[in-house]
Amino acid sequence: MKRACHQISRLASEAMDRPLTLWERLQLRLHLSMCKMCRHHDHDLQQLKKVLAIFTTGQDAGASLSDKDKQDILENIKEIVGSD
Amino acid sequence: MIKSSDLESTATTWLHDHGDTLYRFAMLKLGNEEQARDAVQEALLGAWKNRSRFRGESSIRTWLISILKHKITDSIRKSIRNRELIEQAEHDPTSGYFNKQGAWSDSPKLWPDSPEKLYHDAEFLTVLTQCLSKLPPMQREVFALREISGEDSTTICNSCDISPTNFHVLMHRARTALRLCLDHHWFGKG
Repeated sequence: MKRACHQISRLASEAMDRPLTLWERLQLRLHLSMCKMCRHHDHDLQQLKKVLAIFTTGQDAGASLSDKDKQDILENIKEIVGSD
Repeated sequence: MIKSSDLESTATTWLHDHGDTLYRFAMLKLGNEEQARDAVQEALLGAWKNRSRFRGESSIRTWLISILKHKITDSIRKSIRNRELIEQAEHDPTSGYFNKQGAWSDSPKLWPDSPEKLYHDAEFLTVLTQCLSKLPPMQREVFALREISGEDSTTICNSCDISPTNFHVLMHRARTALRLCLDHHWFGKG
């Protein structure tokens, strides 16, 4: 019998954006209780969401502007404000 | 309160104190260095023009980030509305991730439960940014509005003029592609 992992992966994603119907919730819970791979996938999606949620607080991490970038931005702003 | 006198010293201070933070935020949402630089510039320009409205209720950084967020969100919405085609629903890329038995072809790795640690890992963020930039533009933009701007689905559908079905398809594809990309390039190693 064919597994429902493909459909369940879609349902797991939708669960993060809208309330599921009772039937959908049952389907999802039932499949996840029997399928380790889909449990992992669902768990991972939650982790990804959590990491990105931290960004809304604007803490430091990752890429940076070079001094030249900053100078260019400053010059551009001066020019635009100057011509207003 | 912001001293209204000197554009040069104010903007220089803002760039020095907050430039990198703003840039990282923009890079994550836009996935493109040039667009991110432009977004930072627009945000600082907007902040300068509206400096009299800042009353010190929050930190300067929080205020600048909220201006940046709005600028980015507006530009993403505009670019989504301007797209001629919603990415084709014909070919579903997610169907390629499953075998004939309907199970995952590649076993999903179990990620550790440590979002704070990942967030502070610059290398992880570089990989995440790269994975985001690999997404087709519509997927990346809708995903960014939902997960980074924190907008709800109804708001995104209305402001970007896409149907709820389209929204769910785009989110599903984006999330699955990202999970696979990060499995492959980060969590699967070692």
